[in-house]
Amino acid sequence: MPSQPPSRRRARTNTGSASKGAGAREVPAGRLRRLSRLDRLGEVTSSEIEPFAGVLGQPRAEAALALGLGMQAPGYNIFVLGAEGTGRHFLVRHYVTAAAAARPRPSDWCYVFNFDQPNAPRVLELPAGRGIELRQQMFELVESLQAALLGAFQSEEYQTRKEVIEQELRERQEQALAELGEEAKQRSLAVVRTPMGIIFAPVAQGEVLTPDLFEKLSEEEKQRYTSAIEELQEKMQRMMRQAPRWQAERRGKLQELRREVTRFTVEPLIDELKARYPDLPNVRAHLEAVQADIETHVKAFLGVEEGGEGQKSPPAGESRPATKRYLVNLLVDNQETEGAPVIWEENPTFANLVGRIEHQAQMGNLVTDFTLIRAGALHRANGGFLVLDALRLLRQPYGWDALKRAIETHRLRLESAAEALGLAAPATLAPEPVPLDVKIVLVGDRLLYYLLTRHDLDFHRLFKVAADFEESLPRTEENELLYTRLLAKLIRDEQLRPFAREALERLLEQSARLADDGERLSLHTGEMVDLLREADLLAGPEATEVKAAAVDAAVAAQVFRCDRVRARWLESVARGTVLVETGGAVPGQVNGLAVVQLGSFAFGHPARITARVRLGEGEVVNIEREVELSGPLHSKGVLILTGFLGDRFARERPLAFSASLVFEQSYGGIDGDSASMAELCALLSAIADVPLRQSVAITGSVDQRGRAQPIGGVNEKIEGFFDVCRLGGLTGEQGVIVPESNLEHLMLRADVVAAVAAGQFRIWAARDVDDCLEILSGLRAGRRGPKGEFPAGSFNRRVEERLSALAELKAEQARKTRRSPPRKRREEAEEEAP
Amino acid sequence: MSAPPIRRVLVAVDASEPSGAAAEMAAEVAALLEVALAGLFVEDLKLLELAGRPLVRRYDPLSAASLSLERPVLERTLRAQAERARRQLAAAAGRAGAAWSFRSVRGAVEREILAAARPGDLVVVGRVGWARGSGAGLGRTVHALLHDSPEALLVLPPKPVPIGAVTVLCEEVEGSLALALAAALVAGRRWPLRVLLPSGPPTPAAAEERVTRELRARGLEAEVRQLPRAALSRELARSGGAHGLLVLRRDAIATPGELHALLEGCAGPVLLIA
Repeated sequence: MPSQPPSRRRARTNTGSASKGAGAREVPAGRLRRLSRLDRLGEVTSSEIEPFAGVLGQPRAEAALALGLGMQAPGYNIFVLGAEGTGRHFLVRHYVTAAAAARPRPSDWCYVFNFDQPNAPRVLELPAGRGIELRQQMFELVESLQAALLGAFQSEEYQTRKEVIEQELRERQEQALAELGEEAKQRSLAVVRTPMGIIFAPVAQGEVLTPDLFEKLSEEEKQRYTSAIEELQEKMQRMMRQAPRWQAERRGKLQELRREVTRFTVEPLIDELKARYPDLPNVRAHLEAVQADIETHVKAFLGVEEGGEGQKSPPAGESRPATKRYLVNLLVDNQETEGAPVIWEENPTFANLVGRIEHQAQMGNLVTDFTLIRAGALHRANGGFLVLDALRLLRQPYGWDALKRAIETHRLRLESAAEALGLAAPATLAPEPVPLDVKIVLVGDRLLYYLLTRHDLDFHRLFKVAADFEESLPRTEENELLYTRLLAKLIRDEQLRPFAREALERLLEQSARLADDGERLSLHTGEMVDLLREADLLAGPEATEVKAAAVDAAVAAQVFRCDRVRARWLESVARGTVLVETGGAVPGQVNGLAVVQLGSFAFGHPARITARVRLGEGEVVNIEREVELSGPLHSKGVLILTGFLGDRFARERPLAFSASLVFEQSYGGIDGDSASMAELCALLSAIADVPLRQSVAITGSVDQRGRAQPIGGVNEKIEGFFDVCRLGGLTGEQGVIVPESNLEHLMLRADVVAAVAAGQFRIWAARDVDDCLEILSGLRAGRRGPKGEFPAGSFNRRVEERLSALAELKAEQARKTRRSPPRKRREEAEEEAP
Repeated sequence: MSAPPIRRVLVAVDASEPSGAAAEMAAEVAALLEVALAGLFVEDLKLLELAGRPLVRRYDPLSAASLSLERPVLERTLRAQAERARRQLAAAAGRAGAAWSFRSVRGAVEREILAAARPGDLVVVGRVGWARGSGAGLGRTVHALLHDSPEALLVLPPKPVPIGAVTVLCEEVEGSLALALAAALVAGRRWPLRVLLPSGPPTPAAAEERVTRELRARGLEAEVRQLPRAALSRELARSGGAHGLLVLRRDAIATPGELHALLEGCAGPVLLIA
């Protein structure tokens, strides 16, 4: 059957039905729908009822949340499990907000440049509100320094001292060259500076010697020139070799001068800043590192050449790229936070969780720095609470692993997904991890929780607290009142018109119907809110309050919007395309009941179950199973039938029949065991060849002892058969047999209840298969007497007689077979003979 | 007020570092005045003549090695320098957006520059050349050019200094070519303009106001100051460099000695108009 009873209901077997002899009882109309009566409230509307302020019906989840949020030990993160619309988010918000308000405001977190390791930005923790202060002060410091340093390096004093150093070098060079030139002159040599270096040339009478004149010189003169040039050459080379050292000395002096001027300018500003953070050694240490770095890299403030002009100022609010390193990237600002932060991350991607390092395109390359580090939800929630939707988190690649890693290590390391996976990643920043103290609250459905518990070994260690949300609560008088107050709150929250008392009673009944249980109220407040809104709309613009009729109309409208398939199915029955008999009697055929679930809407309909019996070995063939249309629970239900038959009819002899069971005109898969009672009745009818009433449908599962067990969707099933019967006209003979243990679940439609009250339709509660057989066949089922025999004429007697006949027939056949073995067996026997 | 008829900027280049800066500034000025840029490289004949002389040695500045001065090597070196100078000029002109040409000639440097200069040329030279190193004083070429007086001469300091601002000495209130040229230079860049007026006759008392008005008519703002003539030289020397480019008429300075002193003491570029 498409509808499978919830495990909760299936577990509630009716142990009290084991006693035999009482027979099936017809259920009076008053038991078919438990009405709500709020008479004790008087003639009130929802506006006069005190709204329910807390959370209804979730003591287990509340206790879990209180524990998880209060526990500081590691691993006490929370998984909130339950169905959508049961108030999970409301309750989580309520508790987390309260817990956050009681906790202190966490620190601000900043990233700053790491002067020792530029690719590993350093993290700074500051008291809440101090981060933005430091960021602003560092920005202003850089702005001030740009002006102050430019002024200092353009000052006459600096330029003069610089020029002195330059002049010293020039004088050194000029002096050395002049001395050389003087010596050269005394020895009749000229020194000429050219683009190719310095040239020595012998001169006479102020002119460079020509070859002719040189040739005319005496050997002694020539030798004198040669010696002079060789000596000067040595001095020249010595001088030229000194030049790099002089340059280095010049550079050193210039650098020292720059440091001196820089320190003089920067130190007072940094000291002033340090004085504002006497309690924060990490900030003071960073400021000292800033000062040391500025002294080394003062050119960053001055542009290409200190003292030079023509520097272009960056746009307002921006610093020069080279001075960005002194700024502060305020990653998390808790200045405005009250208590601990509560972050709801709606899109928990990897990057949204752990943060990201952005890049900027520059000259065709992607570059980054510590100012482009962006916080993730974990950063923002640090010191507080992070609430995530479990399914959305698990849908995101690597998000789950990143979250687990963070809460396990208590550190938040900012890395790309590729790095996290150990794949090759482009060279980028490796920021210092941020210490992490955060409570994670995952909200998901039960299936997800159990899957994680089973398949993720870390899960239970990291999420020790499960806040399991109820989906319904007992429909006691007290709870009905509380639920009414909850409705009053929802109505008020939605700013709807007041609901009349009768309308509230209808809403309570509809809540029980949503719970699929007359004794419980649904906690799917989301669906109730939808109904409230629609009832308010359907009440019409003139109404000052919403009446019960509007609620009924809203319920009907909801059904109408969803029941296209049901209408087509009923149409098929009316046209005879789907064969359903609601009158007469047929052996081996019974009307089972199935439920079709279409999203949030379900409807029931009869399904013709037929059984055929022949001589055989005692097996029951489930035709659905043979064609792989039977689910495991349905197959199990059919196998149970064999167990029942063996227990009741074959304790002393084998079953000598084969039977086949089928859902006629069923073309889809079937699962669930809620038709096993119907199948058993059809089978027994086929064996006994006793016709069964087609005006009665039956639902319920059966155990090996023939006891009826509760099933799900009982209301839809009854209503489904009622609708089919009404097509041909209600006769008063038609009705449905349900397990007695399902009576408390009944919350039938008003038209069904009215038909029963008028004697046009009937509901029976059965405890076992005998109850069902008696209603369906009109025969007594019969119990074994002292001699172990069923009473003559009883249904069971007929079954047993037929089974005896079949067994006899089977035995006769066996005897015949033994008397005349097949030829082959005879030949084999002859061959084996000695 | 109309700009003097500068039709071309002629820059003498020799592939040295100051020469590269000279090419940059020449290209910028050419672009501002919307005239062509002409580069000139002179293969120094005197240097070439040294090659082949007995016992002449050169000392390589990179290795301090003593090498003979052979003419083919020297010629090849000069050609390489010319090519490097051409590339420097092309790059500078490209950046400034000026049309350019380049020529390499052989001869005496001063004579070849003067020969290349045409009427309407603004000649750009470095204050010192190779022969003077980076030391103070004026080089041989500047001396020669000052003596032979081209129409406009821009003398650049040894260390490159961007223009950034212009100071002009305005001898005449009416029809001052120096002021017109300075105005033309600052108009495109919105550089600060400073106008110095010698006080006393023939400068009229309301000169400051008239100059200011004239400049405003061209959409320019300027700081206009009147100074006694005695204080002019000192103020000009102070202004040069601290206030970017200095523009003045050559005869505004009474003696060659004073002019030389101004050029030697000035940290910034100086534009002299005939």
